[in-house]
Amino acid sequence: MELAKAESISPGVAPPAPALSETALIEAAQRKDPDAFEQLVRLYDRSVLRVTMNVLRSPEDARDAYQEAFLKAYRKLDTFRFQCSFHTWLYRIATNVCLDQLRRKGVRKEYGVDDRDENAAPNPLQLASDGRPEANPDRALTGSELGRRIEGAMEALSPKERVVFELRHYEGLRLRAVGEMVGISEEAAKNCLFRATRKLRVQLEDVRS
Amino acid sequence: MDDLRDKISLYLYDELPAAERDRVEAEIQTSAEFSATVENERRFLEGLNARRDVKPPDALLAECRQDLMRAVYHEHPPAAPTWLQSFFGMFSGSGMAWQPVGALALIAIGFFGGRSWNQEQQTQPQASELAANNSFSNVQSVEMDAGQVRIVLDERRTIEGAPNDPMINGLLISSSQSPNSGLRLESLDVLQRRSDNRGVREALISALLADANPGVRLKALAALAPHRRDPNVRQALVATLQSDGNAGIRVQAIDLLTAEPDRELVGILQELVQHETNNYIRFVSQQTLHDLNASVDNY
Repeated sequence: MELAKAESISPGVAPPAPALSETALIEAAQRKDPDAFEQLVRLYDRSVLRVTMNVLRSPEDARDAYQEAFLKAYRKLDTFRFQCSFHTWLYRIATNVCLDQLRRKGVRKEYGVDDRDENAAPNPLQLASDGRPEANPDRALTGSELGRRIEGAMEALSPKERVVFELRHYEGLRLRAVGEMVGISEEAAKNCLFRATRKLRVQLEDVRS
Repeated sequence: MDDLRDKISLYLYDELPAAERDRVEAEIQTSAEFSATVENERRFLEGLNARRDVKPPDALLAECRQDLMRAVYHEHPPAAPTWLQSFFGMFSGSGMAWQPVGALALIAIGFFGGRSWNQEQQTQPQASELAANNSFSNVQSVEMDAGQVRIVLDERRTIEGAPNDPMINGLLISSSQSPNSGLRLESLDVLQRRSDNRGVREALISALLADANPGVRLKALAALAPHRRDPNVRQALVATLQSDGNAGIRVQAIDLLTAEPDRELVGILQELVQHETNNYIRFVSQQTLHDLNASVDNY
């Protein structure tokens, strides 16, 4: 069944194929060769910045996350043992930086959604009609209005759910890889994705109708 | 059925194990209601793609790269080469053909060095014994002249004083040109605290432009950093940027120069964009030219 394929619902791009000289670059960067590190950065930084922007939704926060993630990578590069792909290792650092930022900003508290309470009824405030035109189910939403509603709904996810959903749905990464990056098992990543899609359905119920 | 409904989103993401996927597909075949639910969910997930994917603007990416590499270069300035690296450095410029010569020379140093060390070890007890009875350990040379013996003693003197003491200052400037690179480095370490002094600044500029040791040049550069507006320092920074063989030092130089860019740099930066081998320096040059509203090309 065609629609079952992840690619059919994910506009994300696959991670860049490693350059032939990637191993040599990593080894040189491990010896603290800044030029080699810079070349490594350029292989991956566009996709890292895109993910941080999409997760954090703020260019300033994304810029901070970019800097923090790559500096961490530079400082910890000598601990990289080629046991996973460099891309996975780098994304793991970047997603953890994003998670930390989201947690610091208290996304979950702000929107009153909690991992531990996934079966609880949604916050009535979130479901109540807010009077905005885009909340009117009788009216077809334009693309940009729908985008904003989805953006608002995404805010209801916990940091981890948000990162997992972002990486799976928008980046098109497999949940096994997502789990590795976020530091959870594949099964936990599945649960996270399931909770995320369920919350989004609730948040966007009026849009669906 | 409810259990299967919970699997729909994972099914659509193609993240179910084969057995569960088969169960979902069998249910789709047999239940129109379930099939409609799956279709509804598929449309919902596809609808989520309406969220605008934020693509990083090139300018933001460029700024991020610049900030990052600035931090990296500052975090890890180039280390002064060890004598072994310097030794092999003498052969690296001439291609692979000279490397065996370097290796042979190193073996020879090891062999003869080892022999002379052994001989020294054998004679040492005798020398110590004599030194205990006669204080001549600081004899520099002995000559016979018309039946007379001339012994030149290498006397050690210790001089202490404040760093701004003119005699101390003079000695430090003198030792900053010593053949011993360790001594030069130590001298500059003290002198850098006195970089307000014109004579000291000149010694620092001289070290930056002429010292063979990159560690010493880097130390001089750091000492000159607070004086980057001084025209003489600026001129030395430009010369360093254009001709120093060490990329790390050139990076430090361009950072200092572009911290306060002026239009006099335009031609130099244009030249760097064309010919500099270091990505970071080319990048900063381009950025600075952009900030100065200047073209990256020199016509």
